[in-house]
Amino acid sequence: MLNFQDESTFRAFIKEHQNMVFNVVLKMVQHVNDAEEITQDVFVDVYRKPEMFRGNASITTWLYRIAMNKSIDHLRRKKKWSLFGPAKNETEPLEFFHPGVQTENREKAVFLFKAMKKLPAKQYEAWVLSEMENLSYKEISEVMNVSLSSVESLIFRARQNLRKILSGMYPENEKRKIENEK
Amino acid sequence: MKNNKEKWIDEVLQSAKTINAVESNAFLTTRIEAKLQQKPNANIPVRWVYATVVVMMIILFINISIWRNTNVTSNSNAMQQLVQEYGWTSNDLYSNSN
Repeated sequence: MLNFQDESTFRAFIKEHQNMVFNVVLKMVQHVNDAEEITQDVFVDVYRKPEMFRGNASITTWLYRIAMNKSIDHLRRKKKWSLFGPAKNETEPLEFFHPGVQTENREKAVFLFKAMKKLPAKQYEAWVLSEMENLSYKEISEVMNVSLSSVESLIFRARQNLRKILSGMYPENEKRKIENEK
Repeated sequence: MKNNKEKWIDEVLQSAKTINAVESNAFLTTRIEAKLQQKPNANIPVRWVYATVVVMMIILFINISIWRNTNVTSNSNAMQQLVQEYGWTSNDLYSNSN
């Protein structure tokens, strides 16, 4: 069980894990300010409910689980809000430029994040944990609380769906280039 | 041999592996501590709100149906009673039965 005896212990805990939590949340919600808010909420939850950590998984796995759940809840709330009225962040840009992407890959990463938004929640989660966070299938199954075979199936379907979605996003100028070469 | 489109898709998918980790906000700890000072929000899950609204609508609908049926039934019963009491067996109120 987790026990934060004093403020300095909790601060050290935050310092040790904040980047990991922030980065995974950022990949999920694709918005820096929202990711910061959610990261704060993760640690507030950890502080208020340390008894939720039962010790049957590593602290990192537990943090991933809280972070992913809060990210998915956030994405679901955003979608619901937009059904009944203006979207919460009307000025939110349609394209997400992840600050950690190298310049030469920036354009492709924009397409990737756009395509990822169209995946079902579970596939999105599995894809981020596998391809972006480089967790093993065993670790992903612990985070998502599903079987190993479910993880494999989710990642396989995520990849298939992403290929389909990206196929529809193939840029016009590339098509024209090929036609001109012919 | 893969065509250009397939190659492009492969490259886009591969870009997932090239994303570097970024530093979180330097004031994160301060903001977390500020949030902890606030009272916890009684966050009611949205699903519960929708469920309550649906249940209330169903109860309201049932009440309205019962009320309408009761009104119709009691009106027709009252009418029949009145007819029986005054012996109005025919529709002709103005006939001279004497």
